[in-house]
Amino acid sequence: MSMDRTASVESVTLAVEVEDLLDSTEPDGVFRDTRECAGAAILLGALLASPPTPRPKPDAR
Amino acid sequence: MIADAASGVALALRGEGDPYALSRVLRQSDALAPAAVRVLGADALAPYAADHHTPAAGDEDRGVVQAALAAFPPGADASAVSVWSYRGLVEASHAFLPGGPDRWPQPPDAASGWVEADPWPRLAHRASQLAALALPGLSPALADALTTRTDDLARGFVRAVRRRDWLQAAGLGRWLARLPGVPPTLGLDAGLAFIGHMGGGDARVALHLVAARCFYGRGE
Repeated sequence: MSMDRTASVESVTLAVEVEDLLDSTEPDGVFRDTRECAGAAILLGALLASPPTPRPKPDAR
Repeated sequence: MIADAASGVALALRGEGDPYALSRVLRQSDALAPAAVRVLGADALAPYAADHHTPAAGDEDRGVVQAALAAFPPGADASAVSVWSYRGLVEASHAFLPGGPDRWPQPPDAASGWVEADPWPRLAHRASQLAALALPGLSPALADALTTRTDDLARGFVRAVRRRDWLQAAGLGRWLARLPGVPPTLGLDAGLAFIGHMGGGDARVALHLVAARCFYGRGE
């Protein structure tokens, strides 16, 4: 009896999985906007290439 | 298992490998074989629709499909995609398997209002899930309904490629290969080749691409 119940649960689970495979939700898209990527790269390059912020030298004693 | 079965179908559609038999790709003794047939839908029988010298389906093939139809009928709350997929498998069984119409259930009524009502991204997603129905002669009513929205399917094809959703893109490309009136500016053949290059490692993507080429000569 318990085996029947286990088999029934398994078949129901399998049926649910089949339904999910048949009508799966659309995955989140991965958009890569070339202009945005280029803008981000230019900004990052400018930040890296910029000279360091001038700071007062420590007093030489 | 689904990927293995899809690979077997694609191989048969290419005319390669041993002569196709569904019961050899998915053995009836395997507990998961009916589930795999239900997920593949009409594609499980696609090689029998091809012009290759595929041997006629036998009683063992019939047994595998009958088990799938009996084990996974669409319930009362099943989605439209599930009902259409089941209907496609029933139609393909009538067309390609032995036994006559009395051996098979009647194709269930499937709602088609979504074809007209869905916004184009949703329509594209659903149509791609039903790409197995894009076999020649199968579900002509659905194909006719989709013909009225060919431009929207083409939009969905481009969107899916941009999203890198290769399975959806390949399914839509397969429908577009079947439907008339596809805009030539879409570049369907080049698009299908690109999908094959980027996503052809997925067995189900490869199956859609091979079907588009085998049955409609697109994507070469």
